[in-house]
Amino acid sequence: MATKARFEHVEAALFDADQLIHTTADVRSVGELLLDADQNARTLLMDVSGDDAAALLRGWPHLITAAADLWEALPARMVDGSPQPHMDRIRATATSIGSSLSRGGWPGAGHHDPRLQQIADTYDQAADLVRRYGAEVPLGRRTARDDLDAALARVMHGVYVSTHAVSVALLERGRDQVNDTRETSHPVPLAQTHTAYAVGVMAGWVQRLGTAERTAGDYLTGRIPATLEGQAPIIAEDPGRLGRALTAWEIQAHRTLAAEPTAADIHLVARTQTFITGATHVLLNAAATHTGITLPTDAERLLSAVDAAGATWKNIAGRWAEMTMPTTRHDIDLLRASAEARAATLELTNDKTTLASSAAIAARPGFEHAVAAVLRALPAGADLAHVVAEQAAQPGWTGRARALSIRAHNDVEAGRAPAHSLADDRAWVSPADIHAKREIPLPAPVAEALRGTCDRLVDAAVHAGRISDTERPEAAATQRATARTEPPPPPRAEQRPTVRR
Amino acid sequence: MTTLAVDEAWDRLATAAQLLNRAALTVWERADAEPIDSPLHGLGLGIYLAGAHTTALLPPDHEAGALDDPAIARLEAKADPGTAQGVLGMLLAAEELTSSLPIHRPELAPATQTGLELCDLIREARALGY
Repeated sequence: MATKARFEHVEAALFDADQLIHTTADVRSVGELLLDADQNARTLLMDVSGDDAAALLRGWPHLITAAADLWEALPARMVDGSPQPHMDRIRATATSIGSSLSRGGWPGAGHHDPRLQQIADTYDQAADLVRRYGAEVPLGRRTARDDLDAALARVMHGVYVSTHAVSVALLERGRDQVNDTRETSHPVPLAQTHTAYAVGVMAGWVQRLGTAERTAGDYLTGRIPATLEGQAPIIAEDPGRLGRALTAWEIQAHRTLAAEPTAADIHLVARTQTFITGATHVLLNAAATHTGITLPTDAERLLSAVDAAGATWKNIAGRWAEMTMPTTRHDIDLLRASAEARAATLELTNDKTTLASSAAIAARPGFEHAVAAVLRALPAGADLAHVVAEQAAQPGWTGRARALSIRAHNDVEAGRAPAHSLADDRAWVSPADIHAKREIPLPAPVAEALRGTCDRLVDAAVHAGRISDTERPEAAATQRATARTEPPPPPRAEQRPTVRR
Repeated sequence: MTTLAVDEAWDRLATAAQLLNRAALTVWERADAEPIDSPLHGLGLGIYLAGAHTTALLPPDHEAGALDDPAIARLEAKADPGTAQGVLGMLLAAEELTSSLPIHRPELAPATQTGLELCDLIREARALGY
């Protein structure tokens, strides 16, 4: 009896049902829960479609509430003595979206997406653990503070990816609406912004979610969010995006090629030019088929020239790939310019993740600007072809032993290296180099065939540039004559490294 | 919180970069047999750029190992890298390698954008039959 009286007050508190965490078979730590939530968000982004948009939008405010509650349970990360405001801003957006959803209109009442619900439930579970055991974590230690930073970043990353997934679903629903109504008497018009499929009610939701997504992204990259003062950035009309991207690409490619490029840089130039030329075909074909846009010459002749230029860019790209070691770094500015050129192009040519119909492409905002831009890019492509050919003529290039061995044999067999006949064919690369996966100088047939391929590239690119520029038909002819009479550049004194310094 | 040490993070990023490089070259092998307006050229370029951006995140003195380690061997045992399943497998493996990085470290923060791009590329690859 004395023992019972001694411990009674402790037992009462110990077994208070309101204080207990109801145990389950789930023994994941906070870190494991956050990683799982993050993985679920990424899986959602990989699988999302327009059919999911309504349920995802309904579930998004609840997800943010769970994430924000977890954020508040974790010790705040201070910057200059103040807590960072990012999650508060995102929660405010979620609260306003929740209010808008409750007032009716699309998407209306219905279920929440179970995948977002699962992520929210995981955040709730993590928050329970933090509130229960967080006080035991020694935040005075560096490792504990690192873990806290990691946890906060992981929560924000889950919010970032989930929000992006909801935006993608909304845009895909917009695309579905445009495509489904195109042939009807009331087609849904494309938005006059660079996010063409933010149509109807989708536009507002996409803009508001975009604010939250940017705020989350700003936290992750350490930037001050632009929305601190409540001013959401406006998505402006941007019909000139492709033109600017192609011009920036041309300028950067010239800069890189003029500054001792690596084989990887030249490979990227060739691959990007192949892609741009392919997009040129798509846009010009759409213009010729579905619009009244006047092209510089007969469409069939123009497309044939574009295709020929693209085919030779493709061939030269394959050769430079063999001269590129997988770990070689690129000029970072060249990467960015290529990425922007690709993104700007796909915005016009793609429908969700695949090529759109030519009718759909021709109806997109900024299409006329895009056609003018790709026509301007053709003579620029000819300039780049000249520079690539000049680089190829430089001695000292190297490449992967196995790939060059195969290439040498194929070039001799196909007659692309006239100085070397089949009778002279031999093992151009030593088996030891192939076995050791060494980087070796170009075998003679490969170097010869490379120069020949570059000559054909210049011819095709110049021809495409000439017939796209009928206002100055003599310009391309002068360019070609000049290229043939200029003396070759002096040879380099040492072997060119393939790793950029 | 389970996070990778920074050195291990760099190794994972290096492996992811090489996977993406190989996946891009595989896509281009197929693309080169198709007309220049084939969407495969765009997919290959996107994968290649993701790999190149990932390489650019690595410290200048990071020694990237050859793409022969056991992780790659396991991948190749599941699917021939030259097949559609192989390309998708490489993309998914690269995405998994970038999923548990210590993104709270400033030098690794840009990897968050890489993860997002990979998810978009995986959707694009699936839509093209990979």
